[in-house]
Amino acid sequence: MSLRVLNPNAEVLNKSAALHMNINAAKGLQDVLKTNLGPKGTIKMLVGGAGDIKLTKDGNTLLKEMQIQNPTAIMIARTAVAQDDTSGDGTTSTVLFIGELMKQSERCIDEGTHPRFLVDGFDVAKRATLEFLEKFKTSVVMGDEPDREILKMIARTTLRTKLYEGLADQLTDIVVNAVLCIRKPDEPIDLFMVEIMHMRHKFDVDTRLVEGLVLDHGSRHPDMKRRAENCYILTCNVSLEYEKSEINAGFFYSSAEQREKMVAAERRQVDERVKRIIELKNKVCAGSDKNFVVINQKGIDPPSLDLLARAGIIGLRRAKRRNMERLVLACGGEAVDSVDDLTEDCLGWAGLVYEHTLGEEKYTFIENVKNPRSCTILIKGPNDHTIAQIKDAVRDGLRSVKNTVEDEAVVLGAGAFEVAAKKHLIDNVKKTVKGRAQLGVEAFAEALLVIPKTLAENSGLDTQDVIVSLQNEHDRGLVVGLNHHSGEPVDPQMEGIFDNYSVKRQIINSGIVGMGCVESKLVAPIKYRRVEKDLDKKVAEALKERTKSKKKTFRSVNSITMGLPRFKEGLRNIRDVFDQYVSETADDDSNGTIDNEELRNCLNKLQVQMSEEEIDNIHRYCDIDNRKGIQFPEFVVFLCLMYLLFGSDVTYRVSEFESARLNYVFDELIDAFLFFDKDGNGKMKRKDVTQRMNEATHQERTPSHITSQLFSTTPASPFPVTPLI
Amino acid sequence: MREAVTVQVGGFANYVGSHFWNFQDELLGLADDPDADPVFKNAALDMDVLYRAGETHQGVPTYCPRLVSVGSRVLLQINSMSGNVTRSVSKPHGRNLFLQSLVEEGQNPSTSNGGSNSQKSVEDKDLIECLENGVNFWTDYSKVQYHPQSLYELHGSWTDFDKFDNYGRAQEVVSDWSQIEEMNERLRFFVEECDHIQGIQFIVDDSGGFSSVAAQFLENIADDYTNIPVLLYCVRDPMTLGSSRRNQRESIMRALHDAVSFSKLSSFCNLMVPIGPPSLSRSYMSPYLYIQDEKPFHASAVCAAAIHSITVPFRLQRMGPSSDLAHSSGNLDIGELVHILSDQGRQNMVTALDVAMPAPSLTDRDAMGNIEMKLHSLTPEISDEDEDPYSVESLVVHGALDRGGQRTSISQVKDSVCSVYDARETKPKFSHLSASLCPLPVPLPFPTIFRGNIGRHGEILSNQPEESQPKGSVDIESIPMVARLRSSSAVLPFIERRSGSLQKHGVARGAIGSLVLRDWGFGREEVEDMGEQLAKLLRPFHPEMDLTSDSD
Repeated sequence: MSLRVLNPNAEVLNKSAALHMNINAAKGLQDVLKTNLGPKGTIKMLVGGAGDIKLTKDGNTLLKEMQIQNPTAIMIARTAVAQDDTSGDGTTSTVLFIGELMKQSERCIDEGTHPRFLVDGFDVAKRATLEFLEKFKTSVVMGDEPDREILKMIARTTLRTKLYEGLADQLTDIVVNAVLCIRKPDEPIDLFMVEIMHMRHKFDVDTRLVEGLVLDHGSRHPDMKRRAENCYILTCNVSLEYEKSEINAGFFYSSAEQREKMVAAERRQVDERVKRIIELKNKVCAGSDKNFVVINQKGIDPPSLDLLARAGIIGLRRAKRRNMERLVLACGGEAVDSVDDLTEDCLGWAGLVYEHTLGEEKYTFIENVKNPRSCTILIKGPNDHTIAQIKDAVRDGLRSVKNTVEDEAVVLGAGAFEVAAKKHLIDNVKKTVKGRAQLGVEAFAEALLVIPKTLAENSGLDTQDVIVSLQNEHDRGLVVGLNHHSGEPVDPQMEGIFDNYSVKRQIINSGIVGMGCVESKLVAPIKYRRVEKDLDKKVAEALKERTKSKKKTFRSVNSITMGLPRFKEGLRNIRDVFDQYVSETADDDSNGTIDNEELRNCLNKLQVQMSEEEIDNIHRYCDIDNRKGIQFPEFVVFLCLMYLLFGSDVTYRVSEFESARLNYVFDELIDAFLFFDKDGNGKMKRKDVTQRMNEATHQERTPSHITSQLFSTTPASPFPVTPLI
Repeated sequence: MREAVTVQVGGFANYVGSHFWNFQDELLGLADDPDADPVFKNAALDMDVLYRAGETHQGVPTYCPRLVSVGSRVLLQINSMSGNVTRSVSKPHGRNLFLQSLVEEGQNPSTSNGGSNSQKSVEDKDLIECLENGVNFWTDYSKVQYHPQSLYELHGSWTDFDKFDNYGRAQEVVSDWSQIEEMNERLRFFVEECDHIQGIQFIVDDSGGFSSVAAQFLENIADDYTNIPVLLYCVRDPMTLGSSRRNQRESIMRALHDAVSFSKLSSFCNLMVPIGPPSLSRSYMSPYLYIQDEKPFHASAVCAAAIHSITVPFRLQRMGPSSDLAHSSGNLDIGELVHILSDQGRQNMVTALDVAMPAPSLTDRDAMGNIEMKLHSLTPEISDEDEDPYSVESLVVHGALDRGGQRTSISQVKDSVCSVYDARETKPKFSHLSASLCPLPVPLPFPTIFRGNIGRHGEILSNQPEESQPKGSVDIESIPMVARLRSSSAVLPFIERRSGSLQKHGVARGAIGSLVLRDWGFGREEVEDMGEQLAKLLRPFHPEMDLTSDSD
């Protein structure tokens, strides 16, 4: 408890509680995301505080929108989102995998395996799986002309998990074409060169790929053309507006004329720049039907616009900085910073430039460019949430295509890899491991199956049937995945279901987080808010009552120590009572614990009057180790608490025969507690304990470090019961 | 006409902004109202400077503020502590009485005017009372129609906006490239359509993580719009300054936050105006105003009124020196104001804001220097000494009244201000006066903060006890205002304190705060850069420092 010395405000969970908290967090996240996986996963509708709606099936979006508070859950969510940042997909799979890994470990730990062995096993299994993945992957040669079909299959697999089929198939072509458009051999793909624009207009199926650019602004002069063909494009970053230079700021002139003169002089400089551009236009367009477009990153003021319009030039001002780069990639030419030495080489070219107006929003399309190295995906949709949904999907689709091009490999999807990997782990790897670490390998292998299982579950199929039939096929040496329509095994290669190699690798690596969760069982300096303040008070009052009414049974620590065997005996009796009572009455689903619902029933039978809130509190109060539900040791606490608060009737109702003995044990326990709790506030403080310990006769004074150790074994409960059990 | 774009970032900034736009909305309404004071009709305040005309998808014309407002979103609450998740709780906040009445008015505009007068005033009282008791969000009392591009909500998956109280909290938001990009997009939308933009006025709540967001935003503005001047108001809720019980770590964090955000924000703007006295209720204004510090609704109203006064010169009609002075004089645009205050004399860019609300009657010959006496600073931590021969000032007087409660003409205002300045012992090096006839209108959702000794038009009644019931928008139509931006050595302590705390806690060897700064993502070099920036701000006041720094 050195932590308490360092920071008295830190609250510490003991080891099993911390471990279970971690496991519960992982399972909780898994529960939320489980239904998202696969093409048959369900869409979730998120409604914000202001009533705004978001529809999503994307694990990444969902994790980002949820406000997660549990630190372990945050850690897992961050890993999953980082997964998305690096490889663009697989968020849901990561969360599912970690959650399942935790579930498997929980089982083993409950059976008594030390977490260390599990972690060792995980480590071995992880490395083996990664090696297996290398063997399992299907290489794709990219070369100069990538295989469009493979890319399409990859994109389709990703998109179909995010959108409905019709739209997904349409987007598949768009996404693949976009990536191929910006791809340069031997250079990493920069997805920023694909601009994603959205327009709230028409329907989602009107989404299209524009080989060129769409700018979200238009010309600001009524006389400029709205549509022009065969255009030269001048991309520049030159101020074409009149700005007062510092010296002339307002108040140095003495007459109106003087001011006018100064303004005119300033104005001349700007006009000069505009004239340069017009000269160039006249040079390149003379005698042809070609047009000229100026796209400026800085402003163009109305007089300059007027000059440009009169010369038949289309002028756009304040273009996005990002678009300046894209314009050059799309149209050619170069971006110029000054108009001093303009030549034809600076100009780009576009076959068609036109403006589209929606209400007060204007869009300028630059299309039919010669050799596009940048393109725009124009997303259309009737409302904002459709657009947002498509946007997320397109982003993921682009990444998956990019990953494939860069990995030069794909992995068979539809759960085929997971089943094969499990078989490999169980058949080959497990034998190579000695001792209990085998359990870890087994758990890891089992956890891999969560992907096909969830796929089956979301498609409404029977999970066990599916897994068994898949495993049978694999045992026969066939690599198969799950057909989510029929539930039959299929060959993913035939169906064109492929996953990204890098995504799979990331998911397996994310198992590390799972290991972290299992290992980090000791220290969790988390500040817990105690909701059960009211109950605390009640208990304290009841205790006070007792102190007044009864004579003290214990006079020294020794007498308590002497009484210990007696307690043990008594508690053994309670065990029987618990087993009997619980199986008969309280524990309806017979899983050995009492959950909240069951507690209510139980309290009813005990004929105890409590409010809903109080029942909730009691349940939380007694659930000391934060595992779900009340187990036997906690049941003792619960009974004892009931006894304290409501008197001996309670024990009588639990068991007529044992009532007297129970009462005796509880009396003793409470008295022992009161002995330690000197100030009678219902809490056993370190100070009280130490004092009491040393109050004993001077010969038997306990060394202080022992007392503090004794104290530290007591959990946050006000009862000294648990350390005894 | 030269357009200005307004940006508001952070909680309290939006509170202030909401009041600010309510004033503008009230001005627009009064200009169209045939029963209103004629002062508002030909007041020559050009609203196009702040507003833009547009139309909706359906072709309905709109007239909206040219504004980008950045706030935080109330996130979905999902409690995953128990392990059993899936239940999301998020309660929509109900409309209060005021917003309901706005909605009703929008639906049937005829009835709201037709209703009998007495009934309406009773209703108004209810509305005001409802606002006095329950303003939880800045939108609760806003009556302005915003453009859909104006409002932007930040979201951070793991950022707790309830505890968004220092510079480091916003790391996640700031590093999220797409959100910063989106804010730039919104701003570009408004800037692109301006023909001659005069500048950007930026209101930031610099008491918490939003100052980091704002710094990032300002940096992008400085990059993208190199020649557009930025006027920055740093506003603070008085409550965030109330530092009664804090442990050492927290107070160091606080000091570092102030230093870091001051240094960062000042490096990307042209003129900086810190606003936010630790307590308005106990300030010099208390003889006239009854302000409850714990209500941001109250404190923000005063800040907004001051900011409104500062922006009046930006909207006065531009006239040649020879044209008539019936309504206004002393037009300035943001660039000129910045130039006057920060490029001359000392070249100090941190200015103090003083305000007299309501302004005293100007022609009060008995109490010479009345204006001077009544101007009180809204800038915290400045020295009271005002004897700086190098100071530069810009004074705005609008809607001033004379002793009898009549509007004083522009020339009278000029004369009396001149006489006050003549009587001063140390005169400022340069002083600019802007005057307008148009007073500050008091809109319905303005808080009830005036004491009993204020009259219907903001005149100060000497025969009324100040202790009577506080008055609000029902009793008071408008008030005269005087505001002044002052660039003088008075702000020296403000800067020194920040520079000092950065040196002490952050830069010095083995300082406790250096860990905190590292947590916030600053490397050693960046901290030194910030120290350098603060030293640069101090330099105008210590000419000798220049020499020493040049020598090495």
